[in-house]
Amino acid sequence: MAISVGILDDHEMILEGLATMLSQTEEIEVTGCWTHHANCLEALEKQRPNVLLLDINLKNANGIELCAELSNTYPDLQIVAVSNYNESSFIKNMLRNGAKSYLLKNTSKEELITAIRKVHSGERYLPRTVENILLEDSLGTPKPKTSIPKLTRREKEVLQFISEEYTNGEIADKLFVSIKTVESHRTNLLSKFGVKNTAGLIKSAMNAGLIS
Amino acid sequence: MKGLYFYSMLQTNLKKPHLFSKLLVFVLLLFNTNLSAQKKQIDSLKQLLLLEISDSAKVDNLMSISRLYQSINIDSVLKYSKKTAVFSESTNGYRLAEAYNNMGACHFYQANLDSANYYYQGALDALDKNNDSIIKSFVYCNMALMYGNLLDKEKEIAYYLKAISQVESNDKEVCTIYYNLSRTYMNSGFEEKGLEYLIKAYESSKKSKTEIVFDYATSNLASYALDNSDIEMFHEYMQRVDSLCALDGNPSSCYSLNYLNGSYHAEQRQFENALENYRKANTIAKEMSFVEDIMETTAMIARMEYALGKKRKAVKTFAVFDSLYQFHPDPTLGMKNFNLWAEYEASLGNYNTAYNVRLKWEALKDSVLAKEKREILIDSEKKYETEKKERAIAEQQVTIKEQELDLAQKQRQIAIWVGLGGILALLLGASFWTNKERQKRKEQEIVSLKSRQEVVRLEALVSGEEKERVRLAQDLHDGINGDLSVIKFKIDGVDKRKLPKVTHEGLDQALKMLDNAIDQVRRISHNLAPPSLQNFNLTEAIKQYASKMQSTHSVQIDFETFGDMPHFSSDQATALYRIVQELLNNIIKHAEAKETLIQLNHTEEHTELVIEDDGKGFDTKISKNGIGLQNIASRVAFLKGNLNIESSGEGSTFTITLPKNS
Repeated sequence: MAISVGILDDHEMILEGLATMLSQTEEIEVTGCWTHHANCLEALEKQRPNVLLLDINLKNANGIELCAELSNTYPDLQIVAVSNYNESSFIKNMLRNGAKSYLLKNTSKEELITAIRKVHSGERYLPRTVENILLEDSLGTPKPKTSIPKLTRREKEVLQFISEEYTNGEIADKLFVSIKTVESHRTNLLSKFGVKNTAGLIKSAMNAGLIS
Repeated sequence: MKGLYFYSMLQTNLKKPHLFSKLLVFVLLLFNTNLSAQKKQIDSLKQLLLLEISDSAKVDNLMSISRLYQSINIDSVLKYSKKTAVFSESTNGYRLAEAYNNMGACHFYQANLDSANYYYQGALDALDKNNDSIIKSFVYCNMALMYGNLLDKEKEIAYYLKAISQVESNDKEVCTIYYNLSRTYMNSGFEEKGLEYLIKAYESSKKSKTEIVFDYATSNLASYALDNSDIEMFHEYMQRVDSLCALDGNPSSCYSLNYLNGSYHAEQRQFENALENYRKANTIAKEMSFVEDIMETTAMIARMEYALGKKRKAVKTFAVFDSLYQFHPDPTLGMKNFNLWAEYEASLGNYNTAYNVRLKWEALKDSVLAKEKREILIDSEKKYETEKKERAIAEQQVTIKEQELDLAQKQRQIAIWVGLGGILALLLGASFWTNKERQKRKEQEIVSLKSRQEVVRLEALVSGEEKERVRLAQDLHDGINGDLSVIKFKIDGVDKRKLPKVTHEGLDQALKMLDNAIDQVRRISHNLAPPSLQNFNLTEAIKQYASKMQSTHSVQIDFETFGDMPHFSSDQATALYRIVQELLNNIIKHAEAKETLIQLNHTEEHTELVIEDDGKGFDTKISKNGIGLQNIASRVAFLKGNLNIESSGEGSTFTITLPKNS
């Protein structure tokens, strides 16, 4: 039996393009095209396709939120995000909200059909380009806590004063800032070193060679 | 019918005292009708004016001239009264009140009641300095006349009473006022009061031998008595009128005497006597050339002749009346007499004449009725006019009061200032210092105002710029990129198996180029307006940007954030994002740094954005005005924050602090 596919995209020409592209594949049948999310929701109540191609940028609606809503209401509906956004936050959010695949709009026909097939069979699928975006994103995140944390110059100064047993008030006076600011620097330092108190901070900082 | 005679009598009597009471306002009364003699007198007085005489003498002289002009020309009276006032003002106000009073009276004559009131008030003011009860009574009397014309009976009576109180013991002066007051009461329907004052006028004029008033008062009393069928009283008063006529042959007294006697005899049906009286009255009227009186008496004679059975004579007398009527067509007299005349003619069988006279009477009746209607209209118009004038007077009084208040206030202010003068001198030094302080404060205010203005300008600029960017980004992202995607779908949709290999390869190349184009457009669009800032938040957007920059450049970029992010408006978030973007670009382009740390700290007091690099640093003094830094500075200003830049050979630190609730 052919895989039934619905498409929600506010760009009519894209709707048409996607539908045309899919119509040439025998195993896939486009059962509904909507430019407005309300029409889509209405149609889904009566008859659900196997796969839904979902855009993020919609008129009067947010595809990310809609994705969560739909995957909650219809757990058997497989959602493929089709968007022009290539930023990891969009990809991650769509996947987190129940999308099984994320395609960029300039996807190739093969990729599109692959994605539909895969999600229909219950797998997740990300094309190489999208995978790369996520990979770069994860590489860009802060280093694991075992490595030396990055400190600002001010934080280094505060750390030095703490190691010399200055109180918050004294540090504030020395640096011409408020006690609260010193307190927040101290809290940030604890957080950056992943420690609970000043003793832990001094120990970690000495280990990292930041203070002597 | 007989009642009508008396009514007519009263009317004539009414008119004359009214005129008389008006004349009173000119201080001294002259009933000299010898105009040429008066003119001669005026000329000689004018000659006197040319001589070198004192100002007070000039005042006396001018006053005399204006008085002489009374019966000749009101405009001239006004002119000379003005001149009098001018000289009077230069002589400590000698006879100033009189001059003002006369000017007021002239305006009264010319129906300029507001001007009249103004000068009367001026006269009263002048009298405050130089009191003269007689002059004061004149002014009050004139003001009463003015209010009479304004139909303000209450004020009219009040001013007469004021006038009376000024000269109560002076019979000569007070009698006229009594007489006027009695007329006012009579006309207002207070007959008793009217009679009371009429008697007072009669008695005071009798004592002071003020002939004119005595004459009118007596005639009025006699007429009143006859009207009330009080024959005894009538005779008593008639005796006085008789003696007045006999003593000095005053023509108006003699006329009144004969007319009243005629009326009395007519009522007593003693038509012979009545006829004689009327004939005498007629002769006096002819001597005085009072046409109305002549006509009145002529008609009376005709009636008496008819009553005596001399029908043909009566008809002839009416023909005389008619010839007078041609000359002086008084409709009231015509109305009273033409129908009688027609009756007499008819009784003689002169139906033709009777018919014509009757027609005359009918026509007259119509026109008189019409006239009555008109008079009602005119009367109501007059009422309206006077009301308007009254309002104008009231308004003027308000303005005068306001001006007085203003003046008083100014005087008080002057007094205060004079009093404070000394203290002010002592305070001058202190005030100078305070002034300087204030100036300083003002300058500070101006600076803060300017910066506030700058912020407003920046807000407009920044949000305008950002809006434009978002719009452009959306056009690129959804519009062009959407279209490009569709083109790609179309090409992709072609069944390549049916195509020759060369075409197939060409299509694949086109697809790659399209992908490339879509990527570029997406990049440009995302640079213009970061989609994660629109869809998520500042942290996410900075994270995305840092990650993207790191992936394309050799520099290590770390981004950390601490604390709970406060709510930023989209303009604020965008501004912060742009600052990060700009600084990061600068670092990548110029700093030759290996590492960069972006830290966003949210504390209870503020939000702090720190961007550090370990690059070569720059001279903050020189580069501070670079376009990049200027953009950052203006965005910081828009955020009402503070920008601190430290730079050395070991690298640079940019610290942007935003106070909470900014």
